[in-house]
Amino acid sequence: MSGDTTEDVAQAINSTVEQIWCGALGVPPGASEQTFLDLGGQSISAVLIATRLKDELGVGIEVDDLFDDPTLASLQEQVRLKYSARS
Amino acid sequence: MTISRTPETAAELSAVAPLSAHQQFLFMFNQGEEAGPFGPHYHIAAGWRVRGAVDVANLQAALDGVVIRHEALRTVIVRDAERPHQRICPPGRVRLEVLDRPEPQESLRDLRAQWALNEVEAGPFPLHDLPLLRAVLIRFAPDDAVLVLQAHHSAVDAWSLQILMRDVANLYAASSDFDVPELPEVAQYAEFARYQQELVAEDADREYWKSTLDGAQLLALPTDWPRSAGLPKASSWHRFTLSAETTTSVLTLARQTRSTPFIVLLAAYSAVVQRGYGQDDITVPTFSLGRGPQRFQESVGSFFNCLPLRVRLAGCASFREAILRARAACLGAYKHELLFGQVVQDSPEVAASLARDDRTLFVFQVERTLFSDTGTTVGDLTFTEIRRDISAPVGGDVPDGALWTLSIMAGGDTVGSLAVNSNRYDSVTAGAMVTDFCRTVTALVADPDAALPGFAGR
Repeated sequence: MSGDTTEDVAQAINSTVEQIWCGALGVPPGASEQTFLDLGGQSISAVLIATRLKDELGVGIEVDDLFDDPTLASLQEQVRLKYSARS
Repeated sequence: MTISRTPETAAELSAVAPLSAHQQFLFMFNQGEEAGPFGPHYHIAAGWRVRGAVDVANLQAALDGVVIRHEALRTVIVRDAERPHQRICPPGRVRLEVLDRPEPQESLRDLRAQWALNEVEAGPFPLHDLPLLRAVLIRFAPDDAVLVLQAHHSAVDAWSLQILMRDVANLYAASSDFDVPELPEVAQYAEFARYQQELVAEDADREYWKSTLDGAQLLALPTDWPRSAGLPKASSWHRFTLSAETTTSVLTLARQTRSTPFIVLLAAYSAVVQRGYGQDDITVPTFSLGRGPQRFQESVGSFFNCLPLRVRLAGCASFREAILRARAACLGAYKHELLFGQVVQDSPEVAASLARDDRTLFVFQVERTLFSDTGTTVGDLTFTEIRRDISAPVGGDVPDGALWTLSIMAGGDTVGSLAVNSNRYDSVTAGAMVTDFCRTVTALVADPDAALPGFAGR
């Protein structure tokens, strides 16, 4: 993402996280106030989200973090923070 | 399922794949073609009420379509080659039996649907004819039927059966010219087997299991008869329900403790075992989906992995606290999941209980479905999961163990089953275990902060 503004990077991260979240939980985009467990999160969804975040963004979010029951918005924030911490 | 010659031509070689870890595991229990995991009773079935007029020709085409789509349904395991392997065969026609059983009384149709499903499960799966999927359509009326899908369990696991029903519904609707989304690209089971060959267990994960399972043994409980008595074996399925009130309490407790319903029910089962058998240190085996990365989530095959969950209840004062302990066990297990074979290799003692003549392994699982019991419409048909609460003296084979399965219904209550083998338990014992389970779980979730039944102020 070099050459993009900080805002562009943040947007791209948010979008990737939303895609991963919705894909794993089988929900359509847009409901960013519902939590992981609200949306029927299970072991499999936690593992999938954690794995994809690692593979696609190089960010380490654990299964435990998802069972802390974040909303999509709060997960996006965690991921943005970790992403900038690594670069 | 045995082909007596090994592949010779290049074309044949391309249709060959290594065994998956799961297949290798089944292979260890190989009893030939008359019994065991490659025998005629190791099958899995599910049924759905189908409302709307079913076009049988389109249904046949949809069934044949999923056999084209999913190679696992037309794969044989070559057992007697020098190196056992999978061989993928060309697609063939699914055996679809259409039975007209008019039932004018609507209120009796639910019963008949369950009886039909139990009847299918009591019979042998005609194993030698591929594909490894068959279907039965029982019509109560021109627009009300039951569709049963049955598959050989060595090739199809529970989640795969759900995927198959979704795929059949989709292909059927598409053939009737409904605008349904195209089915996603799917990875084949052979690819999964190859992917598994490349897997290397991480040291951190191996360490987790070695330390977590130090001193643990998989849950095995005393039986009515020892294995060595050599009694005839059939798997009987004892079904029960947990009320809507209890189910609501389970869901509420799950939210309060940031757990899944499975975690709450696992804690409850651990408490049942503690109270019934005086054990504080309980390692409950469950089945995980076992599918690994995203790309295999839509695949059909037999993937499930055995995951040991060690719940230690010593000093545990209340059910709520037990949930937290079960939660910790589960999160650790999910985070560090390894193939069961690897875990047992590193901690051989954990499987010592399986060898006991006077006990049998108990597995505990919670299942989810894709089409719920409140109905899903695809095209001009509505599919409703059949709620199963009628027991069967003979059902799908459970190799050497007992299996608890719970399923939370969208309609609000929970259905469950305890499958036991007749060579180890009689039906009175099985019934008593079910009653004890239901009563204990109901009491625990109704008052989660009361002293645990097994707690003695230690």
